[in-house]
Amino acid sequence: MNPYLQRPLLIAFGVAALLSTAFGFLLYVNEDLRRSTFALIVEEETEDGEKVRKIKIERPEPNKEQVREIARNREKQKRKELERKAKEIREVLIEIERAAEIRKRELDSETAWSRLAQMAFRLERLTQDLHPVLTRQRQFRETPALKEDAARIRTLAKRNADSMRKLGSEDLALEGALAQLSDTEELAAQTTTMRSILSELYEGFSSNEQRRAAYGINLAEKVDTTAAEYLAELSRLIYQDPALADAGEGLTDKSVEDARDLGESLASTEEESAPPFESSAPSEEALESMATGELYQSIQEMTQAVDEAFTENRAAELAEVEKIPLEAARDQIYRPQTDTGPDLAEKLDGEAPSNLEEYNAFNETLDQAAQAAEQMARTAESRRDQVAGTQGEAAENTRTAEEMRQALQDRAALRGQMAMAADNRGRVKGNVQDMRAMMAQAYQGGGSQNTPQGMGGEIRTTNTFSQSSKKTPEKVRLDLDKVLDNAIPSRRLDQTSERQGWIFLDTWYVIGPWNRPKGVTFADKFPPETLVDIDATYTGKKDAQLRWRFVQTENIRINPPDEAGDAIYYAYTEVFSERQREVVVAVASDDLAKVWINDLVVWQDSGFSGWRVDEGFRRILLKPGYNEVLVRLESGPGVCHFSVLMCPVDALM
Amino acid sequence: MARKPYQEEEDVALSMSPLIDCVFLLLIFFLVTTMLKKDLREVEHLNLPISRSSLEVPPDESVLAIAVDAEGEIYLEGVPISIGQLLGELREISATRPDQRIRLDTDENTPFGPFVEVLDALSFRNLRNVGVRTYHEKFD
Repeated sequence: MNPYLQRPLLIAFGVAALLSTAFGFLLYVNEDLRRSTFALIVEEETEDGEKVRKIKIERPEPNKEQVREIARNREKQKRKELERKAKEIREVLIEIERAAEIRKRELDSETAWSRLAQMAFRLERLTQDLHPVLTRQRQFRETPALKEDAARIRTLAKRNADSMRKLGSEDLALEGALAQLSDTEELAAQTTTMRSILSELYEGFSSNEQRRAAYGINLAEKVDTTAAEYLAELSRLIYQDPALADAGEGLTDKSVEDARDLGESLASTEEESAPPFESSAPSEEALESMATGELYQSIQEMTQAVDEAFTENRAAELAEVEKIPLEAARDQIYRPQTDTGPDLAEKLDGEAPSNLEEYNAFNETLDQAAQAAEQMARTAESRRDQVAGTQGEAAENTRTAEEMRQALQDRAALRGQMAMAADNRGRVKGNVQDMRAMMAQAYQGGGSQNTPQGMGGEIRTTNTFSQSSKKTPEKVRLDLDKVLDNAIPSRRLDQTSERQGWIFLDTWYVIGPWNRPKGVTFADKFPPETLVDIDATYTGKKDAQLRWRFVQTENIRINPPDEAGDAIYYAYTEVFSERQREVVVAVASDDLAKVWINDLVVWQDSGFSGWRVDEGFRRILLKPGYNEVLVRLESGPGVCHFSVLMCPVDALM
Repeated sequence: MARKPYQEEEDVALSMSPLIDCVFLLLIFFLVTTMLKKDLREVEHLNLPISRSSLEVPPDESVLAIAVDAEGEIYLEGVPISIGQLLGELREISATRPDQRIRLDTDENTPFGPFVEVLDALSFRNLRNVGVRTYHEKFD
C-alpha cells in the first residue's frame, strides 16, 4: 500500500485519539458532566395496562408555548391527585366533626341522666336508712301497714337505682324507660301514703314520743320529697325524647302530665335551639372548581380542621368517661398539629412557566404539593381511626346519626366498664380478670350485641371464644423463677407461640420524664394519651425537650432513658398476632402503671408497690394483625422500671 | 530516475474508509464509556461503606430504597422521612406487598442506633427481603 495513503489515516487516528483523550479527561475532572444524562429509562403503562420500558432521549429545549402546554398537562395530572386527596380528607373531616357534634350533644343529656342516677342512688340510701327506723322503732313498729310500706319502698328504690345505673350506661329503650317511670310512680305513691300514715300517727303521739319519732318523720319527709323530685325529673327527661314522648298516653297522674307538658315544651325549645349538623368542610363542587393553589390551601385548612375536630372528640370522650365539664376536658387534652407541608399555594397559582427552568421548579412544586397532600390524607385517616377506636375499613357514609350516637355511647360505656375491670386496687396478688368479652365488643364496633357495627366498622374478630374457651380461674399462682428464666423477647405471636409460653415485649418507644403531679393518680393526661405521635416533641420535666426514644433490651425489666424520680413516662409498642388470640397479660411496674391495648384500658395499678410479675393478670383478646400497646409509668422517689409479659391462654392451660 | 515525491500529487485522493473507521472507533468508545443509568433514587451525600464481600445484583426497579445518612436522618426513595412516617409506610407495605425487595443504604459513618431501629422495624413488619448496599470497586 502506498505509504502516502496512510498519512490521512494516521491523522484521523491522531485526531480521534486526541478527542477521546480530551473527552475522557473532561469526564474525569468534571463530575457534573460525568453525572449528566442524555437519556432516561422510563417505565410507562400502555393502554392495555402493560408496563413497558422506553429509552427517553432528552429533546432540545422547547419554546415558551410548548413549555406552557407541558406544564398545563402536568398540572392537570397532579390536580387530579390533589382533588382525590382533598375529597378523602373532606370525608374524614365530616365524619369526625359529626362524631364530635353528636358526642357534645350527648354529653348534655348524659349529664341529666347522670344527675338522675345520682338522685335514684340518694333515694335508695334514704330508704335503706328509713327501713330499720320504721320496722324497729317502738313508735312505728306497731303499725303493720307502715312496715309493709317501708319494705316495699326499699325494694322499689333499690330496683329503681339499679335500673337507673343500667339506663345511664346503656341506651334509653322505650320499654325500659316506661317501666322505670311506672316504678317511680308507684314509689312516689307509696312514699306519699307512708307520709300520710306517719302524719296521722305523729298527731296521736305524746310530746315525748313526738320528739323520739322526729328523726323517722323527717327521714320519711325527705324520702317523699326526693321521690317526688325524682319522678318529676324522670318524666321531664323521658318526654324530652321525641321517640318516647308518644308512649306516655296511658299515664294519668297529674304530676306526670304536668311533667310531660314541661318535657314537651323543653324538647321543642331544644329542637329549635339545636341547629342541624353543619360541617366546616367545603362541598365537593367547590373543591372541583378551585384553582390548584386554592385546592392545596383548602387541603391544608381541612387538615387543621380535622385536628380541631379530633381534639373536640377526645375532649368530649374524656368528659363523658370522667364525668367532668367539657371545658375542663379540653384543658387536659393535648392538641395535635399535623404537619401541613410547605406553603405552596402562591407558587402553584403563580404565572405559568415560560422556560424549562421555570417548568422544572413548577413541576417540583407540584410534586411537593402532591406528596404533602398524600401525607395529610394519611394522617387524617389515622385520626379517624383513632376517633373510631378501631383501625381498618372506612365507616359507611350511609350510617345514620342515631346509629353513630348509639355506637359512641356504647363505646363510652364499655370504656367505663373496662376501666373498672382493669383496676388492680384492692385485689389480691395473682388475681385474674377476664376482659375478653368487653374487648371483643369493642373490636366489633364498641357497641352492644345489637349494634354490629359502630363507627369505624372493622373488624375480623369473632365472638365465639366464650363457648370454646375454658373458664377463667379467679387466681393464678406462677413459678416466677421459671417464668422469668424461660420468657423470650418477642413482639410477634404466631403458631409457635403456644409452645413457647411467656414472651416479654422487648422493643419500645419511650418518652419522658414529665413531672408527676400531686393529687389523684392518673388524673392528669399527657399528650401520648390523646395521640401517640412518634415524631412529636414535647416539653417535659425541667423544660427538657422530650422525644420518643427507641429502647430495645434483653432484660425483662425496661428502664426508661433519662430515669428520674417523681416522673411520668410513656412507652409504646405494637404486638403482632397472626389471628385473633386470647392471651394473659402480666404487667409489673415500679411504681404505678396504666396499660392500654388498642386504646382500651386493660391494667391500672395505683399502688406504690415494687416490681412483681404476679401482681395481677388480665385475660384479654388480641385482634389479628397489629395491636397497639401504650404504658403509662409513674415513678416514685426511687427506681423506675416496668415490664409487660404475654402468654397465649392455650400455653398457660 | 528518482521519483519526485509530490509529482503525482494530483492523483492523491482522501480515502473515506479510514474516516469511517475513525467514526466507528469513536462510536465504540462512546458505547463502551456511556452508561445508561437508571435513576436509583439515591441519597447523593451518602458515602457507602466499602466491602469486598459484596455481591453484584442485577438492577431492579421495584426495589424500595431506604437510606440512613451519617446524621441518622432517614430517607425513603431518596426523600427525607421521619421514623413515624416510615413505620406507617412499612405497615402498609407489609399488608399489601409482603415480599417487597428492600435496599438499605447507609453511610460509613451512620450511627448504629437508627440503623438497628430501621432493621427492627423491617423485621417486626416481617419484611425479610432486605439487602444492604455497600461500595465495591469491581461493581461500581
